[in-house]
Amino acid sequence: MRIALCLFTLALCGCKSISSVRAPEALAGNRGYLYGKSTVVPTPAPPAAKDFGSLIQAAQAAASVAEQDSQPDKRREAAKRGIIAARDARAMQPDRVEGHYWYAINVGLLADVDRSYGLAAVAEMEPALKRAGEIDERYDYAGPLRVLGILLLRTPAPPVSIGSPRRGLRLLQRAVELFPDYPENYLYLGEALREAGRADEAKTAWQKALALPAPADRKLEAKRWQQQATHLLAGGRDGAGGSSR
Amino acid sequence: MNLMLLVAFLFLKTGEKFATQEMAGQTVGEFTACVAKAIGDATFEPCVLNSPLKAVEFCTTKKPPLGIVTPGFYLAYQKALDIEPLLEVRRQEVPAERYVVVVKKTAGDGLDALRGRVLATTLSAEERYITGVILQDKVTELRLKAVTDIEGALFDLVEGAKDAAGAVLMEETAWQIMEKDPELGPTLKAAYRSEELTGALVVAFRGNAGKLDWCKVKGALTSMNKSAEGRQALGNIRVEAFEPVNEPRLKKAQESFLGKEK
Repeated sequence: MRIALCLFTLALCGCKSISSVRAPEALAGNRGYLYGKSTVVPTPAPPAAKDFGSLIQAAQAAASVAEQDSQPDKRREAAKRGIIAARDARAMQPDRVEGHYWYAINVGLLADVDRSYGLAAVAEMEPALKRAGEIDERYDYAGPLRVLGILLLRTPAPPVSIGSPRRGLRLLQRAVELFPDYPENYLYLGEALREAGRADEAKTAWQKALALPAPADRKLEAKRWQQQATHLLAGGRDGAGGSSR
Repeated sequence: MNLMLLVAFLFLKTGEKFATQEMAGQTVGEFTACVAKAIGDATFEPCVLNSPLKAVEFCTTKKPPLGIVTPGFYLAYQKALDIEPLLEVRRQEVPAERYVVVVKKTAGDGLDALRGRVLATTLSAEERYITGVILQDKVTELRLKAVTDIEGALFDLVEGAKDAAGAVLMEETAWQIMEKDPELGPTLKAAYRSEELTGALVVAFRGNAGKLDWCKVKGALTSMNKSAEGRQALGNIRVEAFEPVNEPRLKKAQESFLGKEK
């Protein structure tokens, strides 16, 4: 599963509250969800009836739909489901990486499909990814480093947002250091290098992304990475194939 | 039957790499839709740009009656494009529009610290605004280096990168955040702080007005923060409110820009 997380405009976008994405109390078993207008941040009670593993599975599955479904409404609702599941998982086991990570991913996907969440999404994603990285930076092939790196790379600098291309580059370099055989990390490292004016090194990184075989559990995504690397090597920007988890 | 006017609306944020139609067009479109709804008889076609030259080209070809532009653009093109300032933008979490010049702590203070140095800035396309209005013509032989990543310029300064500028011009609010950074703060300082300056301006291009009613536009913009929907639209573009132009401040900037206050 790959998550198309187009973060280009997140920080220039809207500020609907992520915290207002919530499961209605009346609906048991997470069968539905609502988007309320409240900006009050509710502290979700640790769910008693669900186990951590199934919540994470639900968050991952929701992220997959939120990325891949052709209908924006379905993507939006899936991302909201994913947020709720990951938030519950995070509340249940705050010292595990998965809840924080999948929460950030689903928040990004919600903002991707509905740009009016943009500002709020950045504010939610950054601490979640930082916490995920503190717990286990290696999770999902250095996913916390990779996604936070992209976030820092693709958002405007303060005071508008949190953008920091230099720190983004460092995180992506660290991701590549941890997983030197994982192609996706090179895609984004290349982007960070290009933004830093290091065009030759960027090309080398994309060539590496193109040349490396995909891990066995990422065969489905590998085709897209290759397309993206080819596109970038041809001088394209990130939009055409831009994706990351 | 009422006819809807379709009018171009220029958004110029000089040097901001994310200020492009591709990146910010959707959000800005939501803002202009909200303004159009309040006006009732106009639909806007916004265009987001980060280059003054492209903005001039846009003005020449698309004839926008309205824009939100930098004060530097207004001062540079007010006559050529027949621009009148309507309102001033107050940004969210920016209590005062000021710039600072950041240098290494070992450098001197004040604008003397700039002597003989290269100044990194995102505003290099508005050179006269920098030299005349921000720096008050107190620095001679200034060389500007165009950058899109201000924080990167600060890192280059700290790390002594071979192509680093010797000083960085940046918004004070951004510096207030970055000076707290443990990598940057301990070795850098603000050697110069500008006066409080005019914010971005909502402007009318008088020659392109057509049937657009400026009073309606001003009314719609100034009352936006009075409704939840309006506040949302403003929040999305990080604007707190549209306010009357501070005329004395703008006049002073104009004099500095023209070199009349020496």
